[in-house]
Amino acid sequence: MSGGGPPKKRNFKIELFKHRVELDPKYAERTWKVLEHAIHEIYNHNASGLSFEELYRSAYNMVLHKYGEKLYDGLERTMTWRLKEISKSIEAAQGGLFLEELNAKWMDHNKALQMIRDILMYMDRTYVPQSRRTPVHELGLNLWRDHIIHSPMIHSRLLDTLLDLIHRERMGEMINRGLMRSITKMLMDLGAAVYQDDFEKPFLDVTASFYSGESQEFIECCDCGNYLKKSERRLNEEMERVSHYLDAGTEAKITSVVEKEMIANHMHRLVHMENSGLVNMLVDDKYDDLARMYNLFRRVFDGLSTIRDVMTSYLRETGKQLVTDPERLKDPVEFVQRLLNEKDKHDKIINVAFGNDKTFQNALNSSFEYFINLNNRSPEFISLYVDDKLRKGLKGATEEDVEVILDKVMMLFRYLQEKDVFEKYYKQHLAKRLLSGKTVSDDAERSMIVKLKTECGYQFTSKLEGMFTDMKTSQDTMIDFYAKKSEELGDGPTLDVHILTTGSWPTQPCPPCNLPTEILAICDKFRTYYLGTHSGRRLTWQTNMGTADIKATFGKGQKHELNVSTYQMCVLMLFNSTDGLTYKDIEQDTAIPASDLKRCLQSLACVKGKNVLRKEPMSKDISEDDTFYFNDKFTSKLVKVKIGTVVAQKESEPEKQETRQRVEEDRKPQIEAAIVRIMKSRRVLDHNSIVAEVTKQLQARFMPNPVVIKKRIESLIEREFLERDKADRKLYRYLA
Amino acid sequence: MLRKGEAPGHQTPPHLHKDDGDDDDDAPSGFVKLISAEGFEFVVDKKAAMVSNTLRNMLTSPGGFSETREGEVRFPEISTPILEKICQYFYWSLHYSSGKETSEFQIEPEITLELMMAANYLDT
Amino acid sequence: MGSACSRKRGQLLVDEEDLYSARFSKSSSFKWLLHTLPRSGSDVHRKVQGPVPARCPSLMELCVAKVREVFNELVEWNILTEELLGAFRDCALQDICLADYPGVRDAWMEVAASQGQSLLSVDISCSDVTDGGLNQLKDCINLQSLSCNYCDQISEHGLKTLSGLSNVTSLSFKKCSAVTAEGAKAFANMVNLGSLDLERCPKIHGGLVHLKGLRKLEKLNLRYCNGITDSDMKHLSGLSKLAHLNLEGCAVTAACLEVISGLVMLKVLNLGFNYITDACLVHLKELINLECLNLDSCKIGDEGLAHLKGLLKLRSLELSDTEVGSNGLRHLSGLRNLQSINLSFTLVTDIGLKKISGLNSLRSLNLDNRQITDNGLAALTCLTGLTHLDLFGARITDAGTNCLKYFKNLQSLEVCGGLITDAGVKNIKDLKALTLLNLSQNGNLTDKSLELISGLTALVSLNVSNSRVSNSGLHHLKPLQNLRSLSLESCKVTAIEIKKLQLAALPNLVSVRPE
Repeated sequence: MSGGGPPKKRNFKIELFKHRVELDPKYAERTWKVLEHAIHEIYNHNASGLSFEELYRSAYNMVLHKYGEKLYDGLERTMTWRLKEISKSIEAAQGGLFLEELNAKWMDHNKALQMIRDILMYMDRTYVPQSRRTPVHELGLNLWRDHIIHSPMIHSRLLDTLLDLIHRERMGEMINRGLMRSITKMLMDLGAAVYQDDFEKPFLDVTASFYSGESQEFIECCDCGNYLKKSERRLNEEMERVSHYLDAGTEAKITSVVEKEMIANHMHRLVHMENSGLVNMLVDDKYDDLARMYNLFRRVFDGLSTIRDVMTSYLRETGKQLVTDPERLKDPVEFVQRLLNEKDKHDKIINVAFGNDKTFQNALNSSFEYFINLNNRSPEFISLYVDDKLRKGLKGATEEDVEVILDKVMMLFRYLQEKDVFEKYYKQHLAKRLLSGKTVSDDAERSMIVKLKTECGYQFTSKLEGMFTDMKTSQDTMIDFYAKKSEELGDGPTLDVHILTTGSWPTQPCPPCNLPTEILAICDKFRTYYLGTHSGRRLTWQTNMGTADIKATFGKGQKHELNVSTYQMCVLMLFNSTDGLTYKDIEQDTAIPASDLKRCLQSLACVKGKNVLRKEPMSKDISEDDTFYFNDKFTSKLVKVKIGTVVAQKESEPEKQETRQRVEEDRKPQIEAAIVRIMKSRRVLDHNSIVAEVTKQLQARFMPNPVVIKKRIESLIEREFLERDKADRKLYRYLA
Repeated sequence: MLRKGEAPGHQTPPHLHKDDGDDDDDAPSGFVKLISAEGFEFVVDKKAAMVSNTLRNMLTSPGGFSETREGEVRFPEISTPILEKICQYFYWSLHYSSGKETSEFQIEPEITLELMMAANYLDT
Repeated sequence: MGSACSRKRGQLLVDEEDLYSARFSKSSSFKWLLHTLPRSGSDVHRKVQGPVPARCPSLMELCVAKVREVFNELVEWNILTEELLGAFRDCALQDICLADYPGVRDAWMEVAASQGQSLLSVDISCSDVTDGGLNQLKDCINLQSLSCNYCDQISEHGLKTLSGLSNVTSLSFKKCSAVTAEGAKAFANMVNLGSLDLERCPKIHGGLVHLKGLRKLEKLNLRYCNGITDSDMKHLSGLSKLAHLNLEGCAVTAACLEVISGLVMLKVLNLGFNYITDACLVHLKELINLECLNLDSCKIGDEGLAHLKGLLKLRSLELSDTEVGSNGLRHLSGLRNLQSINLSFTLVTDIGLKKISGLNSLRSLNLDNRQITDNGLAALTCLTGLTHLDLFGARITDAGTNCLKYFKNLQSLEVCGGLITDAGVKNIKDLKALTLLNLSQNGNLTDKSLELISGLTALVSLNVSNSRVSNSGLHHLKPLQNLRSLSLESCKVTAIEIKKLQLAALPNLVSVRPE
């Protein structure tokens, strides 16, 4: 062969197979009798006298000699006969013993089947696959199915018994679960189809009608929370039943039946249930009930959307009431605090009961966005809330606390459609805080700016940051001024100037009032100093925005330090040379605008504890005929007396209108810029598309009004940035 | 590994020189006696015998067949040299399956066809 | 003996691969044997697919393997008889290779067929098997290889009964009159055919039409099928995988080359002894995958070679007995992969050899041609990779043998032009790699030459016929222990002395002249 040396011849003795000899013609019948006898003995629990080898060999030889068919048919016949006998004994079992007898016989049959399969193994291995017959084990199961389970005397009795036991268990009785498990396992062993057709389908039907009835009963007499508790318990019971004695595949089917009957069919009624439905649960923070509702409803189609829809409309309704209630508008801080509380409350519900479901969070956000923008003062109020917190509210609060509050405010800010309005107010309020030195924490202020920047970008905050820069520069300038000019100044009043860059600050042109001569001198010195170092600049005094600390000595010689506005200082300084002055005198001497003067006199003369002036006649309001006197009877426990500080307040109606107008003015260039940007890249675009694009670009800051956009387009056409298409008037063309 | 009885009908079957070689009459559950057509007896580990699927079924079938009770199996249609070869195969197979280096299993050409018959019968 | 097929199908001895082969696991015919496999067939399959820890082979498997081994030994040693064969009925044999085995007839086929689905290859070449015997194989549907060469009892009817064997990948019916226009219909269903050998089938005309759909066909041998015409050839045009095509001695012409020009996968093409002219070769231009081309005795000359310029993968080129001359060789100078070229009996002269002197992949060169002289050889000394050099008729003198020293790797050398003397053999004595040396026809060689080559211990074949070598020089050959063939015809040597030498010193010597 391959490799090796020359082949060596060997003698083979090869015999022909023994099994090719002719057989005794009765061989097959005789052998089958032996096997048939053995099968009976096995069913009679009498196998101990049998020789496995002999039986196996008999079967082996039968198959080898092509008597496989005879063997197989004989087996089928014998087993059928035995099973018919067995069926009689099961039928005869009385009442409760029926299942036990069935189970016992099933165990017997299984064991016999295994023994028979073992001795007929060779047939299973060769004859069965060749002739495409059913393997012995499967044959045994099929025969059991046909002659026992499908026997007319057993079939319906078995089903009724099983269903009755399950019903009794549902009603609270204890049943033999082990036996139940054996029987359902038998049905599964006979094939999934047997289990399903002969047990599972009817079981599901019965279950459906059971829960249809029970749920009807519950819904009539239980409140929503209790109903849900009962449903949950039933659902768990059914799942537990499956795990104990049904096939695992039944779980999905049975739960779907219970879900349909208990939940899906009553979903809307449950959610809207009077005094206990979803809204009540939300109002009363019933976390457990809400969580239960969520977990049960999520199992059924449209369940969660049902909850979400009801929650959304409830949120919108209550939110709308909140933001439109005139009572609430009186106190902006309280207004915003309530919004935050609402948000906290529902965040917690979604977190605790709704598993932080994203879709619920979205619903909450969209609801807030909806109602916050129903009130066009929301931007102002939110800014005021921040002002309140940064002005005094944060005293003693840790940095973390500040962050938490600011983050919450930012959340509300995100809901705002008119972010530019907020910006406007925020600028005003920030300016006042900075100029009056009432900012509690520089870090908190800056943190807020960073947050706004993150949210809206650099442009949004560049002016706000400019304000901080001005403050710092002013401080340095003043140190330098005093360092260089201290000898010249002598003992005169101390001046602290804030140099505000035009445009960064919310200043309105306002003619300066007449300053007292003492002040005027140092002001002039500062002006000379400043313009000397910064040539080409212009300085205008914003006397309406300053403050002053002045020392006053009253009748009995008591001394107080008064903290007043620049205007008030001007008024008070007049009384150094005279005791009484008429309103007209004061107006004339100071040149303070009338409305400001009235407000400043009011706080000097009409506020108890701060009335360093006396007015004649006495009244709450300032009239142009009033006369004012130095009040030398003024007393106060405090050495320092704060008078008429300029506190940021919600705007009066005319102020609001004015702010509004300024906002609209500011929007114009932004809208125009957006239009030009879009047209530059698109060259030609129709009107509606421009409006859509502009809105898209600007909505992060505000919702541009289409009418305004149209006006801006007209204006751009006038200035020849755009032109109308000659043929199609709806079409605009960009002119480079 | 195993020794062969000397004559048919030998009264005391020899035992393996494995372990302590327990009492013969009541063979420990660890062994089974295989008897050839001529009456030669081979005592092998049950574990080895169960290399054959037929023997495995025979020794594990429920219901107490005589082989299980008596711990011996008679093979009226397997001759002594063939049964010996088969027993050798059982041990060879165990050795092979243990993952150890195993030399080839030698089959003499003369007995190949008969051995094949027996292997078919024993499903091994 | 019938072992050719055995070798082809791989070892038949107990061998792991064979034992676990998927083919084996397919054995599931009808008799007792066939259910010996582990119950889960998938287990065996897994075995085949990847290296998983080895499952212990069952005793049944070992026996089956042994039975196969025994069967093959019986064939090998020629002791299988019809009676013995009967014992192998239903034994799951895979290979039954009885080519040239005496006495094989229809009765044997019944046992072969009883192997059923286990059977993978059958070779009954040169047997007396008839249609009836062949017909029995029709149920052996796993058959992959069938050889019925020279079976003259088989007719087209027998061949047609095989048409259901669609798993056959290799089929050989050499010199078989069963292959006719009708009989060839059987091939049409054998869609897995990769190799088909129909050499010398005399009645094949009209049959090739049935090969049309054999998309997997890679090798086709139609050597000396005289009946084939150009019109038959057109049916091959769709065999896109065809890589080997042998048309030697078929009566095909330029018209058939048009068909061949589309078979771009061709690697080996034999057109020898056909009426092929220079103009025909234009059709080979596109066959850029060609590695071996045989144009032996075709009517081609220098111009035709121009069409071979682009066949850069060519490794072997046979131009023997053509009218190729020195001028034509310039077209070959770019074929850097050429390893073998045969220029015997062409018009090539010394001048031409310069043009192939740069082909340094050359291993084998045949210049058996009277025009070649020492000068020609001198031009080739840079071809140091040569292992085979045939200068049989070339006029090489002792001076020319100096050039041979450059060919250190020569394993075979023939220099028989008659001009070499003992002095020239000195230049050969250091070519230690030589296994074949032919110095016959050089009438001046003496015993001195035998002495000179006594160091060439690798020699297997030596021919110094027609020389002056004598009995007294024979002892110089004793060191040539590998020598199997020795030819000293027409010398002063007696058969008896050679026989003595063979018995005393050269045990491997099997072929001796004179006897």
